[in-house]
Amino acid sequence: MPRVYINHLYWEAAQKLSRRRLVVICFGVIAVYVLVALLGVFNLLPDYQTRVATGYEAPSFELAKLLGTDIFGRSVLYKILAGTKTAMLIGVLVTSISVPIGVILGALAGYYGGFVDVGIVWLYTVISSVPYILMVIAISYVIGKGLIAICLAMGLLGWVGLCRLIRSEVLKTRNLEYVAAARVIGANDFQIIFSHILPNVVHLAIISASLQILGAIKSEVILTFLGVGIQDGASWGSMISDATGELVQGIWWPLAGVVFAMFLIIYALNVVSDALRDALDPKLRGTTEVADGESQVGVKEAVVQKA
Amino acid sequence: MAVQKISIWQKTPQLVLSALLIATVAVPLGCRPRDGVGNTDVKVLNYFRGATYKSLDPPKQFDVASAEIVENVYDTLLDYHYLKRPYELVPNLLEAMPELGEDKLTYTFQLRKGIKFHDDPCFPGGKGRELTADDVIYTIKRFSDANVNPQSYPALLQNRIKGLDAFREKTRNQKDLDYAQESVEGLEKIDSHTFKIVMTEPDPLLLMSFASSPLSIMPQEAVDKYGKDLDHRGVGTGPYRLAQNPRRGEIVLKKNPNYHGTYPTEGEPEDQDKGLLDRAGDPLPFIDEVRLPLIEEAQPRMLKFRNGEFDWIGIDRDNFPNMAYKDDKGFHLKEEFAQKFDIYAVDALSSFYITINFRDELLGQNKALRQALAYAVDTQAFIDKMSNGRGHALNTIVPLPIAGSEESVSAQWYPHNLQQAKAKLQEAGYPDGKGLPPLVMLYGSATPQIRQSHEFLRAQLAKVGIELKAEFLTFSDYLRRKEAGSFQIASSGWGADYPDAENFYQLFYSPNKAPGPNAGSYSNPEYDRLYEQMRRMPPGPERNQIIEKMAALFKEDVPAFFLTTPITVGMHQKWLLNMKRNLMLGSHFQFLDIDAEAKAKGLE
Repeated sequence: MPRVYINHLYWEAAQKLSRRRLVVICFGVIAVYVLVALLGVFNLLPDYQTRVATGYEAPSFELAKLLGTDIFGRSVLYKILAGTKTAMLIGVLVTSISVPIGVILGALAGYYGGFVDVGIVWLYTVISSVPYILMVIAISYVIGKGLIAICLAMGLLGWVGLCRLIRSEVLKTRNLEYVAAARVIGANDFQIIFSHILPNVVHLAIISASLQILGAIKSEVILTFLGVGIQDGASWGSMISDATGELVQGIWWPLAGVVFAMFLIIYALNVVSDALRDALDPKLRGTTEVADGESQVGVKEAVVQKA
Repeated sequence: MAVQKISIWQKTPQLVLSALLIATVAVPLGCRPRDGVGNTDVKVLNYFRGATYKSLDPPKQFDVASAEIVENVYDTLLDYHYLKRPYELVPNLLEAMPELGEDKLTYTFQLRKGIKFHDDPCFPGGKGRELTADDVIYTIKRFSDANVNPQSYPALLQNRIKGLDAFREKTRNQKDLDYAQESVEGLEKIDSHTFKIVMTEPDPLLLMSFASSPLSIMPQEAVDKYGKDLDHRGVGTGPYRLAQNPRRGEIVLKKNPNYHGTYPTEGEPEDQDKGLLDRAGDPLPFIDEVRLPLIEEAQPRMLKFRNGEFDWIGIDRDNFPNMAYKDDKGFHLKEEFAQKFDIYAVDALSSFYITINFRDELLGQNKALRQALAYAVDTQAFIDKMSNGRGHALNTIVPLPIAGSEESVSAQWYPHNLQQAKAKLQEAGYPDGKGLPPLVMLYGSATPQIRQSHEFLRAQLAKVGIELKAEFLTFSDYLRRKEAGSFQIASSGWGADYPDAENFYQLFYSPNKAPGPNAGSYSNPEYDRLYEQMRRMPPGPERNQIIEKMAALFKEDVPAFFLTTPITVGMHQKWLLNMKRNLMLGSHFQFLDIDAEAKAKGLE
């Protein structure tokens, strides 16, 4: 069964990833960020609005003042933690909107071809012809600003790359023997797409999702810096935007803190995305590793024989 | 090791590319002389513009960036005295201040003789002709044309001159109206240099409109020849003419050698000691050329100023703590800068406040809640924290230098008092803010300063249990929402069109309700009655008493709270002479002078 092979693929990928120390550390970093975000969602983070000292106090060895204070004497560290919640929330929300759209539209376009394909290709060509940030700004002007608005805007635009990938994979897969076999045993289109084809291409969605989270975090910071993102709340973008003036006054710690926080998560996500691609993409996996299990060809042959 | 021999010709592409690269970098860096260096014959003023202008056609503009250029190219009939404070109207194109007739409705204006327009191809032979009463009447008619001027007419001339509103209505229906064929009852030419203006009712503030840049006098020949192009060029009688005008580059103004103006001979008592009267009576302008590159960001402007490339600059919030400080005596530059530059500080002619919308069910009907807001906000702390102390907490809506402000009227705003705020909140039916939905504030931009202001206010109101939320909009959306009256509270500001309290109290006059300037739709018949009474009165103690009553009503009803006015602080190079900030003038380049030798030396 293909599923045997697929489960094996993930198990093998996990084993492979766990052997690389940097990847494990990066997974750890992401886990910490996710934990901070979860604490934020349940209101368990310290309140960043509370004054902890006088305005613009340089960093010192005290938890709240570890990264200094801002103009109102609020802890920069707590603001960064609150911003982490916003960034992670946006990353996850955007991804959970764009990945399903990308997968479903890509699968439909690839599987059915014809007018469905032409329509979907036309749609994503149109969307990708407009610069991403400009389009997000335009959408946020129409549906309003704020967290939900930019999540929707980025989510509704971010599926194009994944859709294109899935479409091409499905195009290749739909004519393979095991799909033909499924059709012969009477499976309908829905079953074929979701039970037979998608499990074989879904690794692309996983890689794409990890990149999407990264892109969404970066875009939120850029949009908020430009004044069209998060309006009223903690955001790394607004902290960077405040810092442009503060830097002139020699106040470096808010910018340093937020840039470090951003660097860490973006670096970790980058490393993890690369590692995932290495581990999951059959083209990049060495033939020797595949040979350990049932070979892909073998699986396909088995299916055909059974059919 | 084997080395391949390469001929110079084989390397030609690299050489060419390298040469091009070096030339691209070196030409802008090395070959461009810095303006003004080594040339002491031509006096050049180097300043900048912070924004692009909207239009240089006087009636089509009403913004600061446009007025700054327009006032150099064109002249108004009257102007504000450069040195005297409080701001005082003086004749500019006129022989003397207009005379008011016995009927208290007719002003007679006498134009100065011999004033000439700039030389321009629109005139026969390219020679600028003399200014006459026809030009003034033409200008007023064109200013009132609804097709030309949609914006500043209501603020400056509406309902003030006999027959002019009817003329404006006519222009609405007939696009290419021949002004010469249409007589206006209130505009009458007596002779080539004399004309009369008849008002609809006695109006002591009317003359101030004739000092406003949209009413700059222009010749019909220029309009006929250039039409729409006047948005980017100018033919006036002003101290400078436009020599170069790229829309986003460096505007260059060149001296008008035939300019009629002279430097004032009187000023404030301290002006003599400061050397501000050294050039008394000398013909203007002193500076030959003004260069105004467009630089929108504060930081490069400041770096250029410190480098000597600009002659003066306003100090922005972020640079202030590094360069200057405030003590009991005022504002000072830190030692290292005080040696190079001089500082100035002037009370601004604008006020900032939070408008409360009376159409909002929650706030409109609940006076105690509005008063609680006024008690809850610590305005002085805001000024100290957010503006480096560069501002005043106001007791009335009127900025300090303006006639009818708290300098001449006794008024006291709510002190910052959390206990009182809580008591009022309880009276309003929301003890400790319980049951009170969050208030939503409208902002016209989302700059870091605006967002930080919001965070400050949110923290202040949170202390008494009021939750504040923000809606940051683009300025056009913000204006639209205010005009539609669809907001709860809004961060607002108003700059004086003329230096009189009336210009600020009209913001709360009920016939001016949204979409008019009374965006909060505040309505109090007693306030309206007092406003109507005060509007047509000459300045004086009697009028001030009425203003005092209006201020008291304003305080009681709280149609706005959190009243502040900024202090404009800036600095200039020591070689810039005659510098005294006059905020009623769109531009004061004509009065400035430069010690060219000192500048050349300083730039070396």
